[in-house]
Amino acid sequence: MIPNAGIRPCRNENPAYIRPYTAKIRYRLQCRITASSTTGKYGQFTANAKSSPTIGISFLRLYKRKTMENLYRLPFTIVQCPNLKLKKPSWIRKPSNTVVLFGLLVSYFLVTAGVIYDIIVEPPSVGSTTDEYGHHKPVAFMAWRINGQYIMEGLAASFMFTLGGLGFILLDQTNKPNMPRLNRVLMIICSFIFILVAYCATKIFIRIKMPSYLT
Amino acid sequence: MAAKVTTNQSSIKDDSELTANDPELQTNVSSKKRLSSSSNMLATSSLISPTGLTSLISFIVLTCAYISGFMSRLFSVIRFESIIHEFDPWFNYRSTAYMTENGFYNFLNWFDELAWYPLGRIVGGTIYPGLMVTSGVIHWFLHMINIPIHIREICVFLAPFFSGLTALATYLFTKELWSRRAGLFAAAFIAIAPGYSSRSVAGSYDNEGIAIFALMFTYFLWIRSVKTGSVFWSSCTALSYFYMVSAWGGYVFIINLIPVHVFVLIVLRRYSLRLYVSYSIFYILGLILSMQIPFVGFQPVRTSEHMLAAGVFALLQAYAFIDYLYTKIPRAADIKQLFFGLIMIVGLIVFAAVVVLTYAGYIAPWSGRFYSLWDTNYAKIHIPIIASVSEHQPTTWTSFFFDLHLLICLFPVGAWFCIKELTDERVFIVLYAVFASYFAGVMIRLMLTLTPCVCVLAAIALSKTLDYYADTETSDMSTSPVVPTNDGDGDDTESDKNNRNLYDKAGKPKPIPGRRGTPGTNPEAEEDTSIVSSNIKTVVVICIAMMLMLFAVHCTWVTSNAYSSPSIVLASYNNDGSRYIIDDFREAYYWLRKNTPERARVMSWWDYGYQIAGMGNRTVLVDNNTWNNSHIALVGKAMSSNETEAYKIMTMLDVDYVLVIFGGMIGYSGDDINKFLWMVRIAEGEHPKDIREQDYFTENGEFRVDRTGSPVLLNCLMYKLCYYRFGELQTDFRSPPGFDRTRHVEIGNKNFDLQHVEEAYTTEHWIVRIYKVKKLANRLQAKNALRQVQRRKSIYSTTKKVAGQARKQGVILNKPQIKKGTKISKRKT
Repeated sequence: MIPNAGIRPCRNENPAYIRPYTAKIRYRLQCRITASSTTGKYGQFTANAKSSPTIGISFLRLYKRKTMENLYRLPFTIVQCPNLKLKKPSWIRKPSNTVVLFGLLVSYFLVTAGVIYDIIVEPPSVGSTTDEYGHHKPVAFMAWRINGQYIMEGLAASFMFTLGGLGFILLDQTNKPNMPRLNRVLMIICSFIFILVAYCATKIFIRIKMPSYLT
Repeated sequence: MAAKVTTNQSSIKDDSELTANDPELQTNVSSKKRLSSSSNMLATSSLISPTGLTSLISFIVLTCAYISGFMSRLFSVIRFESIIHEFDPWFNYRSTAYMTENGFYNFLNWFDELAWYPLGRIVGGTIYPGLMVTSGVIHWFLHMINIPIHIREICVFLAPFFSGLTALATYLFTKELWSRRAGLFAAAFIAIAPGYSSRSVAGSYDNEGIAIFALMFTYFLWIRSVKTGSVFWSSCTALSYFYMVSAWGGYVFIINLIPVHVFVLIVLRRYSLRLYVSYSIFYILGLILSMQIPFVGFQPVRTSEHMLAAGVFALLQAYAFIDYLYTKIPRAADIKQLFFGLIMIVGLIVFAAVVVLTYAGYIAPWSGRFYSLWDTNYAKIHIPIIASVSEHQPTTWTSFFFDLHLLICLFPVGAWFCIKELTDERVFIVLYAVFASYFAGVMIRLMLTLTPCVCVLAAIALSKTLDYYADTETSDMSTSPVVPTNDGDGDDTESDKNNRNLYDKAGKPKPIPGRRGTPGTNPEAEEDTSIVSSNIKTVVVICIAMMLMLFAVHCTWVTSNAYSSPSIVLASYNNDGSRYIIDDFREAYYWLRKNTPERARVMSWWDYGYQIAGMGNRTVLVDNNTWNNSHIALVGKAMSSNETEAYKIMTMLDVDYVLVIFGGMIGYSGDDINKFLWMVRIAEGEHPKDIREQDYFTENGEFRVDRTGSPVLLNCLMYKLCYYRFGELQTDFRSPPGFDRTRHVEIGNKNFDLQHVEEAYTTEHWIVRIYKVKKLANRLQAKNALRQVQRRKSIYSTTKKVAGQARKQGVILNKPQIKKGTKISKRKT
């Protein structure tokens, strides 16, 4: 928040009077005149103080600051800053919004799928039962157990959660100002479908899992 | 009652929805009135001022949220009675009762001899006293104003009371983050979200009940202090943090999340003096305050869990110093990069130092429960006692759905909105979301910390969506496309809206007002200008309202069916809907209290320790405060070895009674046979030579109690205590005698006798069975009882001559002799 090395109002002048200097001159000026860490506010403060009746207090503060500044400034009489030219490595870049969204959704998908459960407990991907004729039948959902799941059921349910989330994000995207009408209608329809599908599918899943749900 | 509460909640949902659009609505209402009758304009606008109405509506909504949050947690009290639930709450209740009777300082010095039999427990130094102090203060206050209420009632209703406060704290938190409307949504969500009500129903008198309130309030104050950078708010944060530390071990979450927030802000180049002030003050004050809790003690400066906070504190100081240096240096922008890199390196060095110090032993390493959060397989392999607790299991998708329902879809959306419009405080909620969702995936128990965050973010998502879609009027009136207002503050938006209406009003002579009177009959050509037609908006709003209603129904159902059982009183329902109460636990504990000697020691598995001490008032060997693994392992070993071996351990531990929980008679699944494998595992951890887990499985690796079960299992003490004389009992005409209804098998070992214990008491439904440990039997007489004893002559009266002591009678052998003129030391050598 500190407006470092920017153009600063000098204390002795009108704060509104700002003049661009070259870097060197500015540096000297700062050292000599203003070297407070909160110069932006400071200039205003003094300007107010001059016109305000509490001038005595402000002078006291000013004095304190000045002595402290002198103290702070002491090492810089000896230490000279090296003349460096630095460049940020080009590969450090802020990730774009889409990348962030993608990462968010993928990690969210994995967590809600109970992947950690899968790692620790190591359940089979799909269960199986034997029916009355002795045939093996695959079972997708581990019924009646809230604290247990097969890998695939977790992934399926979590996909539905994420789909619902995507639906809401699309719903938000529709109110961008500059968008063709067709796109907008399509997006609204898409988001509706996403949310409804997600909702219904999750409901069916939970009914399979807990047949007594909401009864 | 259930129906009543449901309607109550759904009405609250509607309320909160109304308020979500309230600023729009009321401004629209007022603007309409202005248009319809310009003469009344002044009068109406002064009567219904927007700000006054907004605050009135938010007040009403918050009150409703509070009440509904309180009410929806009362199912168990209404169905059963005002009773403390489960296991841990019994200890909390017992210590609270002790505190109200004996005063706070006696409570801090309380040595509880009823627990951990040979060892005892220093209660004051091993608990978080916040819960007891809170209810004690309430009790004291109510008695001061002459309301004679029993401490039990306060304990039962404390958690619902605090859940209402949590709703308020969440409102404040969300209001700081986004807007007032989102805050109202968040309050309504958190009030009924099952993820939170699971731990805060009436009667579950546990630390979490008040800790979530403290958590949210601390976060609110922290956000406030980061925003303002004032010393006042950050001191308040530290005080609230102190309350949290005194209340729950989960304070570690705060003391790690806030430093992470600070660190990420630095990395994102969002450092400011506000941040510096608030974190420095919070850390120092919070550190000192948290060390005042006896149980925490010097942990904040010594353990790894707290090192992140210290490291970030040091880093922040360094960063602030360097930031100061910028002001002294020309071309600081270039050097900033360098310093930024340096800071990162310093951070790494600090991290490495912490690691090195941990290895060197100066800093205590992570405690197992925290370590298992990172290395998820750790607990399973190394600490069975942590893995055995059902709430430490990893979470499945069903738990996510049950606890959060609709919010689970809205949660990433809210996070996305926060990332898109990032500010200092929104970084916080995003970090909170990331960490909490990971932790919730690792442990079911930590769903509790995730739930508030989900509620906040879902509220943000919903509020932002509704900001646009519930605003049907404005899009029709305005000729220019409405830019969705991103509101930093609720007040800002209101003023925005006001301005817009004012602008519209000024343009009255234009043909627009004619349209305004009949919205929805717009010509096709003009609809292009508006973004989405009002019909679609209405449909969207109705859909969302429906979903919210279903959410409320779901929450009520889950709270009432899944989370409101006291688990010490069981209920079963017949086909005609009539209810049958199974009250075996209290029956057994009452028997213990009345029929056993006062100092009797009861051995049971640790789950029941608190209940036996609380209700039965008898000494137990192990209880739910699982601080001594080897002691628990010893009990586990006694339970899982055969009777003779077990008797040795039991006599060693001075056990008088053994108590087991057996559900096979009525089909109660949470009994000791189902928990038995954990006893074996824990015992194996300490005594790997005597107990092996494989011995208890069949050859196929199954755990069975029927005929095919392993002989070791069928002869161990636990099996025998559970199934003693069960083989004589035929529970059902269709099933053979000795049919276990929990595991649906006929038991394998039916006719056996107990050698060293005898049955003392079995409750009505056989759930609790108590056995008395026999005293050591008299020794059997030897077969040749009339034997001849050959006496030898005493060695002391030998006639053998020893030099110097001849003819002295009654002399002790090897008695040191004093010889005059010689030194003792010489004789030795």
